[in-house]
Amino acid sequence: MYRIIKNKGGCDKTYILIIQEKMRYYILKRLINTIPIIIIVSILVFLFIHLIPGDPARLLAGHQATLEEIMIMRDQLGLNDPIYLQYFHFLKDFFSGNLGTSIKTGLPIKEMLIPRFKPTLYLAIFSIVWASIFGVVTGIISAVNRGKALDYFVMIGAISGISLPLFWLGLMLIQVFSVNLGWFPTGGVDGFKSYILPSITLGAGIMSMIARYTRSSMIEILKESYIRTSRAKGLSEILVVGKHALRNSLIDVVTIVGLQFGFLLAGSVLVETVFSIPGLGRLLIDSILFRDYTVIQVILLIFTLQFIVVNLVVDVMYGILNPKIRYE
Amino acid sequence: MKEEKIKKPYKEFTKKFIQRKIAVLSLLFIVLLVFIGIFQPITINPDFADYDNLLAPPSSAHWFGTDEYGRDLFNRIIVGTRISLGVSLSSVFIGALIGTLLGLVAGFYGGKIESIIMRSCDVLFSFPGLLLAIGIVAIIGPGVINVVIAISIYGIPSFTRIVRSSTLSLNKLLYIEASKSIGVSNSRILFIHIFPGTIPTLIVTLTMRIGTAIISAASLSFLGFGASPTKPDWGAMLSTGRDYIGLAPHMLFYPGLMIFLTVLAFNLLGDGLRDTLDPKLN
Amino acid sequence: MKNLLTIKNLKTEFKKDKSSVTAIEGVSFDIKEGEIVGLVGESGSGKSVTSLSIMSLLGEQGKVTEGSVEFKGENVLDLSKNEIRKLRGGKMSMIFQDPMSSLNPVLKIGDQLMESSKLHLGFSKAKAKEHSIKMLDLVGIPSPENLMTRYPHQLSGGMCQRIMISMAMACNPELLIADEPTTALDVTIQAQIMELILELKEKKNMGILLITHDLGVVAEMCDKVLVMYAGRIVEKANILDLFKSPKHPYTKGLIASVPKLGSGNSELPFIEGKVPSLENMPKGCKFSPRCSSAIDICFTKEPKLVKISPNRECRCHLVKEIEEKES
Repeated sequence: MYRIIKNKGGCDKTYILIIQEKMRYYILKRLINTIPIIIIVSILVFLFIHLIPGDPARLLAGHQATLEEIMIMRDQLGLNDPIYLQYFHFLKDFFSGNLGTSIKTGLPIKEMLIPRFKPTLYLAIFSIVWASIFGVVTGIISAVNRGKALDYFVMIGAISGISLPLFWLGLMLIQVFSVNLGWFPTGGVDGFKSYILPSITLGAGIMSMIARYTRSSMIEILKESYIRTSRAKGLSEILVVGKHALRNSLIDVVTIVGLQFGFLLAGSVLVETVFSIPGLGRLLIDSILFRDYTVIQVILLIFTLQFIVVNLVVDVMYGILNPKIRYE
Repeated sequence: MKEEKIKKPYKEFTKKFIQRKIAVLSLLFIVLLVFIGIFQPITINPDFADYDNLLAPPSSAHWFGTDEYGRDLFNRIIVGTRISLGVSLSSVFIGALIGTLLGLVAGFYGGKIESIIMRSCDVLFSFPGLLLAIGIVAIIGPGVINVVIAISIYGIPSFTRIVRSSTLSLNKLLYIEASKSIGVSNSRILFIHIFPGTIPTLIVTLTMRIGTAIISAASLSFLGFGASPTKPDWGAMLSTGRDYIGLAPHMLFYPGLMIFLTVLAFNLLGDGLRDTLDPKLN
Repeated sequence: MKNLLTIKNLKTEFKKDKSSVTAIEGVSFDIKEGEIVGLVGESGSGKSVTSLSIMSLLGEQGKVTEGSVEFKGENVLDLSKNEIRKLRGGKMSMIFQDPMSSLNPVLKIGDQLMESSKLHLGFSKAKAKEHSIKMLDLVGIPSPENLMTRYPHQLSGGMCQRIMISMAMACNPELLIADEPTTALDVTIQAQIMELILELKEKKNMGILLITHDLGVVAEMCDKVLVMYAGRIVEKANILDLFKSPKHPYTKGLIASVPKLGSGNSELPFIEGKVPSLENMPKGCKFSPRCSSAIDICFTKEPKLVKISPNRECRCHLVKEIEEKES
């Protein structure tokens, strides 16, 4: 829908208002679409504890519990209520901050989670930042040098990066740099240094994906007519690629980086295990091994919600960055 | 006439494919692995515990060294091929089968069925990759079969989406409309006309997902959710090897290398297939 | 009038897989100041390749392997990349066929306009903005200040082409290459754009290379015409001579296939066959497979481009023979 606005002062202002409204509408539409998904996901996670073979009350009460203790536990857990009521309580509790109690430690889950957010967050941020920067730069270099040796070299590197099992890379890095060379600690979160190897491990796969997509996006863009125009204007190749081409590929790049978030979450679980980082991911694994179902439930829900939210943000960002959508 | 037309695309495809040497090399490597998986040509009995040679580094006697029980690593890896490949291939094929059926039905019939199927996929997609598999295994417990189930389920939405979009574009082709107007039954159209059109993209996706499945299966094993560590599954071997980091790096290196090379081969093959089948590059 | 651009024996090849194909060969012509030269031919005749070769915009796969492109006495092909870039968009500029997709969709119009003057004339941001608005005015765009903040997809094809033209004119070019500037536009807009180009030519005394497949446009605009087929120039003539008495069978076919009002023909005449692909060039005269007047020699030996009168050249065995007969 194209509009050429003639210069009538008031008309211009209305035009801008219309744009903002359209943007709001777009965001709202996206939000509304996501809500049913969130609901279903929360139902699934809620049902989680009920899908596990065995009586949750007995599990929570422990092996030695008497029948009476189990009955009390059932009551406490609200397991005697009809299931939809239980779900309602579950949601209410979750959003009011009461995340339940750990089966294993008996501690409120909320307390367990809070110190674990920081390491996971730091790991995620470091990984995605370095992976995005290196990924985009490598992708651009590769696209500009398409078909030459440099391109093949980078592409093979990228495919290898995707094929590497994360945990193997981590273990090898520990072997070489921590054990043999002693440059980095083998695990834990002792300051900035401890995040270097883990974020390299987690970032490797992401960087490779970003490099590949940036490259193909750039290659397509460099074929476009407006790139030919910018060259016909006599602009230096740096401006052609760095300004005209890059601005267009940024739309795709942002989307790709956002989409890697899922990989980031899943990978952090592995990386935290390998490097013994006390983050959320490691807690998830430990909980599964110890059958601490209440904790598993909460962490799964948190991770999933994070993922959904990030995807939503990426969608919205795409709409903002692409003027075609912004101004239509 | 029909026979000729079908043969030519295959020949053209093979000709183009052979030009991509890397893809061909990967294919050969995969064939070799499958061969090893089926026939397990072991040189030394992998269960034999050589207690004089615990954690030995690679030598002429033990090409990849020995593990904590003195078992020859090279042969353990050979035996492990069957499990590792078997788990990944079967889970991807099951996921592909179910996903393809769902995708065909969703794309072809549309309407409410499509909405339900695609919404379910959206929900499954909301769980970040491996976490879905981990979650499933957390519920149904560890073990090889459960790993297969978990990975199949986590692969279904990808296939559904891709087959559905393929179906949607194929559905619009004129000859489908013509067939419908003649009165050809829906199921016949679906399987004889539409499905073959989805095969190229399906094969590429399949190959790429096998790589993901191998890594996922190995990750699950590494975390302790997969095959029991006594079985020579590559991921499980890495999990044990982790305890001996610093002491016996070869225990980490070789199983991981196998995983890496296998996944690399599948990814290169998938890339090569996609390039060969891509109409834009023709 | 001085010669602005002299092309001698230009040959351009493209790399395809492991071998190369020749896109254009033996192309020679010149353009004087204030002269509009038309380059006519079907798609695939090599018109665009010629223009891209002049501007050194062939890309990775293309290369000029023979000949020279002299702009004001200097061979452009011998210049370094930096020197060519100084010319491009400055003294030599080009506009393209698809105005909507030739503008960067994510940058504002103003931004794209100011680039040229900032680069070639060294203007500051403020001066460049002022200059760009003046340029937009020059090409007949109402309220140009408003346009500076818009994006290309908000505008029509005609608007975009005007913007392209103002971008090309921004640094006072002496040579303008227009590659099918009106093909993608409506007929009424076409007329406007053509008028604009003529106006600008008069004002600035530019030399223009007008590439088109539309003989109507040629008739309206050009002083001199070059007809191209399969990468070679097959006829060169003044505009009047060409339409009054075309010599080459291809030119005759082109002119005949333009529908004329009141001609009374029920069928539209056309030239049989299609332009040969670069890999499958016929031996001898490239037009021979489609030529109704072809004789034996046409299929075996390629005719040379020969002068048949002071301002006419033709590449055809038949024509040479006719002139010989007459002389």
